Amino acid sequence: MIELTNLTFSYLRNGYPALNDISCVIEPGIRLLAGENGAGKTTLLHNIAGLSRPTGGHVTIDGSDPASDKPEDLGRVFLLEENQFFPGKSIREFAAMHSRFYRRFSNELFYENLHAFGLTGDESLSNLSLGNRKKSELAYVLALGVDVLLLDEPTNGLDIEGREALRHIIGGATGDGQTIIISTHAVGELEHLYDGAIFLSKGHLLYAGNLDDVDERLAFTVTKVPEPEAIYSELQVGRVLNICDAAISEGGGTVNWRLLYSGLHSPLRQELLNILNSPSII
Amino acid sequence: MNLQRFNALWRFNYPLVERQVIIYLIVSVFFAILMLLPVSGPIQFSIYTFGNMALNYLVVLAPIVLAKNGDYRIIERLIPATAGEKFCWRLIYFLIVIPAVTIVFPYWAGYLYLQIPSIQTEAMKSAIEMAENLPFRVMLLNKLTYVAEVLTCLYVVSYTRKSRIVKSVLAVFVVQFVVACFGFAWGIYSTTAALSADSHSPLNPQQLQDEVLARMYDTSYLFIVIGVVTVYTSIMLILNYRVLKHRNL
Repeated sequence: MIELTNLTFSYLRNGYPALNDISCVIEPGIRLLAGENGAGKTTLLHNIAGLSRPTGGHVTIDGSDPASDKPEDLGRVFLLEENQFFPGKSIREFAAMHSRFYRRFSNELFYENLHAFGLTGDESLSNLSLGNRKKSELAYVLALGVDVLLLDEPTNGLDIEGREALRHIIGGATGDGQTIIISTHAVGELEHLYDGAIFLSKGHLLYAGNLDDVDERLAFTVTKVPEPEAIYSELQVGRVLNICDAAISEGGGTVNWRLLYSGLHSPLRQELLNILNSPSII
Repeated sequence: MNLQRFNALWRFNYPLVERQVIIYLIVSVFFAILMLLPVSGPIQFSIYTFGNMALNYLVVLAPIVLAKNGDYRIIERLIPATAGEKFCWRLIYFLIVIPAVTIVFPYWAGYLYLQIPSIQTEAMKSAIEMAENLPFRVMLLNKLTYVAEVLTCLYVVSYTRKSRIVKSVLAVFVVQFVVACFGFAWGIYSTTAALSADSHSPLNPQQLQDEVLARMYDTSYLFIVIGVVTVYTSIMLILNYRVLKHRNL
């Protein structure tokens, strides 16, 4: 479990904070991390990975500091970013050198993932296209077996088959207690996989919640409408309800995160936040 | 330090540095062969001077390998090994392996040159002898300056976020310029002292040169420069460790 407590981070001393007083608990599962450009997504991933130290507040993963120098803490998190350089002639060679540090790495799963992406692992990394290099890297990191896997824009550069394979692999990847945080602008691409979401805007936390909580609140709002007229104008109530209605699937269980994200970045943000942050309904 | 992890770090970094070591070896052997060519004195001396300068830059700018292929820092800093283990790997590679690979053949060629009278010229011979017979304090200052420049390059490559190659090269130039300023002031000071002694008891040019060199090597100024470079090198060592320990990216 990842716990962010009043997390604040500035790149410059006394500079404008890239992350501002963020507090939330991120439970195991697949989490969407979304926000506009400059919202602080990558900075948040760096803080969770321990690559940046918070200037205020703190981050813990199962109670320990990810920025610590202990190998056992370092071995629990891995971050895959854009333009990350994997030394080695091929992903197979890289895996042979790098996986020694990760006790739960599964060679079998690595080759399964490569196969799903249509690769052998022997392809020269420097000669691979952007998309195939990304597939190789994803095949490897999804077999690492770390507790927290942070993926920054994992679908960038992937073709349709690649995205489908990634959806399939990630869907089956979360082991016991594993957390995968996927930072992306393509919110709709893997949306049926997400167990929860974290929405950022301009360094502030807009909303962080689990699928069940969101689903429950949206469904309740659509079906019960607890005297909304008292709170909103009629026009807005209709629009918020439309968003809520469209955001939940029939029978519940999944949420249209893309629509919810759009709603949270629209003038209806506050109304939606009131619904999402309302006390538990049941 | 966990030796198993340290060994794994070497294996992990091997693909990154393999090509660099091979290229440096080739350049080093090439320069050694050039040193032994039976050509005229000025050409031999030029090859020797230019080659040494080029090898010097190869050594001090070697850390650029960490920045040449996209961002390697995230992978490196997330490796489950302590900052101390990563730091030791860097020091051994950039301060021992790379200088050894780069310097061993030219050094051996210099020795061989002095054993083969048929290819010797006066200019080259005196340059090699001078380089090999430097007083310990001057040698120490030379080595310390190398270390300071390598650590500066390493720190800038590891710490900065953008234009890392350009910034690290500039940082090395700045350190070289500052050390050169020290050397320049040191030379002027020694020459002035030798010339003022000359006015009392006239010296010929050779004696004057010997007098200047003797004063340069003996003066307390040399200790001050060694002290300053030592302090700077120590700070760079600490900063290079901190950048791995705190992993700020």
